[in-house]
Amino acid sequence: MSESILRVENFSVDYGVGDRAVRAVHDVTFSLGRSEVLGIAGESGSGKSTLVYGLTRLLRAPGVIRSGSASLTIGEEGQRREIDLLSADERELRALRWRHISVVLQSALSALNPVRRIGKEFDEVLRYHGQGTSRAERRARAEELLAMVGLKSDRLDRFPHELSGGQRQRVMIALALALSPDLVIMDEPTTALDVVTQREIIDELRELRERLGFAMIFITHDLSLLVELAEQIMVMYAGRVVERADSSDLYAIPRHPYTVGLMNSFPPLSGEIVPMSGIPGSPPSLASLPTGCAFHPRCPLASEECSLSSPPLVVEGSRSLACFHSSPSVRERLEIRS
Amino acid sequence: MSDAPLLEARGLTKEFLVKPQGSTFARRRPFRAVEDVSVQLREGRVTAVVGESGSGKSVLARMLARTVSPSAGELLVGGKVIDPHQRRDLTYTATVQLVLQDPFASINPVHPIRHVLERPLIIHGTASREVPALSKELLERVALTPGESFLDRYPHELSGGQLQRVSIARALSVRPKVLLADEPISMLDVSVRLGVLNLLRDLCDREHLAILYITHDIASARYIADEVLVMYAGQVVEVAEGTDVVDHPRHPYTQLLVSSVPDPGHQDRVRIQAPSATAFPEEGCRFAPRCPLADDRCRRQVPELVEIGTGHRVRCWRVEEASVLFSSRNSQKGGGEIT
Amino acid sequence: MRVLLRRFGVYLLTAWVAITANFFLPRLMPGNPIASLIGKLTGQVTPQEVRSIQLQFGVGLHSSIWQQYWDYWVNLFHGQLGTSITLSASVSSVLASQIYWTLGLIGVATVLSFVFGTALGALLGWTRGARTDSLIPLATFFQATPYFFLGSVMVLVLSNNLHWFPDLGAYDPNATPGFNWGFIASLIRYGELPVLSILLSSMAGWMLGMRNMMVTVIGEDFVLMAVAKGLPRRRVIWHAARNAVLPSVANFALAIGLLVSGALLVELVFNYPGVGNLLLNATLNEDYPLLQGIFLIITLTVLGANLIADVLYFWLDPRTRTPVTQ
Repeated sequence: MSESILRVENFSVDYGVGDRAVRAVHDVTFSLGRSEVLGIAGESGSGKSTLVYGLTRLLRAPGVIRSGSASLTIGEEGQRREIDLLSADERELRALRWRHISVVLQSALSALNPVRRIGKEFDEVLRYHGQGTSRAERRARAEELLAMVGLKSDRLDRFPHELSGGQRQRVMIALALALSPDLVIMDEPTTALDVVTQREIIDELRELRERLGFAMIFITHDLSLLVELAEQIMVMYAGRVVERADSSDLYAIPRHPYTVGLMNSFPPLSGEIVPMSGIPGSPPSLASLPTGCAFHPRCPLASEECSLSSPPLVVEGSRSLACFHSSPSVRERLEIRS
Repeated sequence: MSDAPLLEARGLTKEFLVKPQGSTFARRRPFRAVEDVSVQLREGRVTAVVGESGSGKSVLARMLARTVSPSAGELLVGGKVIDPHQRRDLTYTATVQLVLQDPFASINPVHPIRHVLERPLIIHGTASREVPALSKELLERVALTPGESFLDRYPHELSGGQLQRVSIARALSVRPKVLLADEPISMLDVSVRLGVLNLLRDLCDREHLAILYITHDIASARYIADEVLVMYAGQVVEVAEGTDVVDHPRHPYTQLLVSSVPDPGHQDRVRIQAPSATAFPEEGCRFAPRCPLADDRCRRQVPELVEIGTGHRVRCWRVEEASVLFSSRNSQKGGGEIT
Repeated sequence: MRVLLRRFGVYLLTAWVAITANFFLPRLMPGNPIASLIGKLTGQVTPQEVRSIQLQFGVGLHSSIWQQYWDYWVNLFHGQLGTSITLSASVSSVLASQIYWTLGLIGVATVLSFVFGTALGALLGWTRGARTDSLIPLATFFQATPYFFLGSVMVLVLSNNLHWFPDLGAYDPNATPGFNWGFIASLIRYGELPVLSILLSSMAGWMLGMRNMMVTVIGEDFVLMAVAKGLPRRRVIWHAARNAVLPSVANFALAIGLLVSGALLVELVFNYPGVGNLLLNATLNEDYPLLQGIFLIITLTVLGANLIADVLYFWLDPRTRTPVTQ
């Protein structure tokens, strides 16, 4: 069991204050190992992005962290330090940013400054973090980083809009790894890319992880991608964690009806064509959540108690589950094809 | 079922004049967004066109909807050729309707749903006293019940899935024979997608429409389509019935596509390797720069679309080797098996 | 580059149209301008002036219209814009003498207004919601106040009563004009209050525009990225401001273009020489040659400023360099 790099407990984020506050992230608890990949799956309104922006203190107004704790463990073997992410001041955060935690946003086109060449982005990041004393040195390092993601060094002289979507995303990844961080957070990095480019990038990520050993949080709505990529998967719905497990366990025995429904939303690439229905209804708006369990209006197993109170998250070893009706036979009961 | 397809395209080609990127004084050269594409849309059938961005699939849809005029080729409605000089008129839009990707962009946000449905009804000659009942019925046909409760709402009050259904209802209001759906579910939440997809299939079966389903997601195409076309760089590279394209892909590009889709159940299959997409070559097979099997003939001559099995056509000079070299999706436990 | 050349061509064409219109307009006026002008000047006109008017209006000349048109262009290239009726001097010399005052005072004031306005706007955009936001209504108040009122009040309070600033005029009447320090120093001293008044009354526009752009830009992902990268705060603000200033730069170029029409109210309130006064008097006296000359200069300067704005945008925002392709 590798030691953990990130520990989050009862973390909650609201949008707005007072009566009009909407809870976007509710009581989230999880931990991440040093070289582990955590996949967070969810749809719109699930809170998955808000969760990571909150943890990295990049929330935009009116987002407000309401409660909980989050600690990041950094430093060399034997000299580990624990940093409280939520109470760190600006100076401490700046010391952490990019050197220990970096982010890759969904749209590389808007994340890269459109009026600057790619090379300048690398130069700036390296310069402001004291890496490389001359421009030539920094350029050499930038070329190294680009080579790592399979891009030619002439890309450094181009503007973001001159690159293709896949190339831009690779640039983002190279930038994110520039200072060899401990943790890289990726928010839907391949959603806007075509499936072949996505495959290339996922393979490259896997290789990079083997080489550099960083931990990764990967956010996406594509659960099948996570089963391939992540060691641990956390499924979120309406701001809460509904299920968390090792990815192989989750895939084999999903226990939350939402997880099952989500898996049932991806038509398979082989086998007989069987009618599939996804999940009836749509994800709720956070401003007007159903009473009790947020998923109950769409849940085939819902009973009266589900509309009265929200099921607590029960932790059993490496699995967590928030459902009154779970059992290993959930899958069969929902008559889902395996 | 009648013999003639409801809508047919023969050899459609679309050229744009483009300046090569990076150069300022070079002449503009023709860029073929779509080249020699033929497709038949028949009653009661869903035809899927699968391709990545840049494959030309959206331009194809626009040509079928006649919002873009082809550079070459012809369109036939019910077996009769359409005169390209004749403008797209009400008769055509009453026959062929387009549903687009983003319902929030294709529906005017300042009008309530009632208005969204009323307009096409009235434009196409429905008497105004019949409009309210018809609007309600249209909404219920797309499973938005009760219809009345949606009529007075505004687009932003509906979810993506609901609004896309409204978009489909709007298309149905003119009683079309053909529905062209350009990536209708890509912008919807994952759990909602199959509902809309099932609706399209349902409409096709119940009301005998012909549906063209354009997508980049080959799994969803396999799920609802009766025929699947795969496009690459403006050309059709593979066509097959039912699940054949995904289960037995023969073109190297199709195999690359199929093997790239995340599939947790078959993680040990052999992956096809191909270098990243570059600019399309001027001559020869468009896929040659990326194809592990490409030889001289591939680089010089564009392959023809050749029939290799019932309803299964492939555009590849080396299709026999392609079948032997790569594993198929239906192999049991591990790759390398030949199908 | 091709985009730029094409633009330049369009500007050349526009300039040609403007100059041609300038040529034809007086000729399209009804009535007999010569008679009315001579009447106005009560018969005391020199033959040169009559000739000038004739050239201007194309009346009483025996050459064809195309010959006149050609002559007009030839004269233009020689800097010959005709003779001012009221001032009995060549239009070009009259303009030349006044334009320095205008460029100096109004030019400096416009540049300062832009620089301070956008800088303040950037900071206000960054600290949106803080109490400093009240600077904007304050500045807008000053901008909305009729300038002559604001200027006059400033003169009254700051100059007459408090004596913080010198009297009206462009320079100390005791100083000898010329390239000496005494004169230059008095120029600066006498220019302070007018510039200040212009600043007060025009900064709000720049501030508001920049602030709003800043707020938009700060919401964009690349600013979030800059923060996520752990860059120091002033660097992040710099990034945002650099992108947010683009539209203001274009507006600034246009403002410079309109400089040459002078600022009449400023000149009136502060008894300052400049093109504004010139324009007013020329209009009142129907001094057509002078008016035409001024209009021509204004047109060409505005066109030039437009072109510069285009070039600036081209340089500042690389996205405008690629022509629209697939």
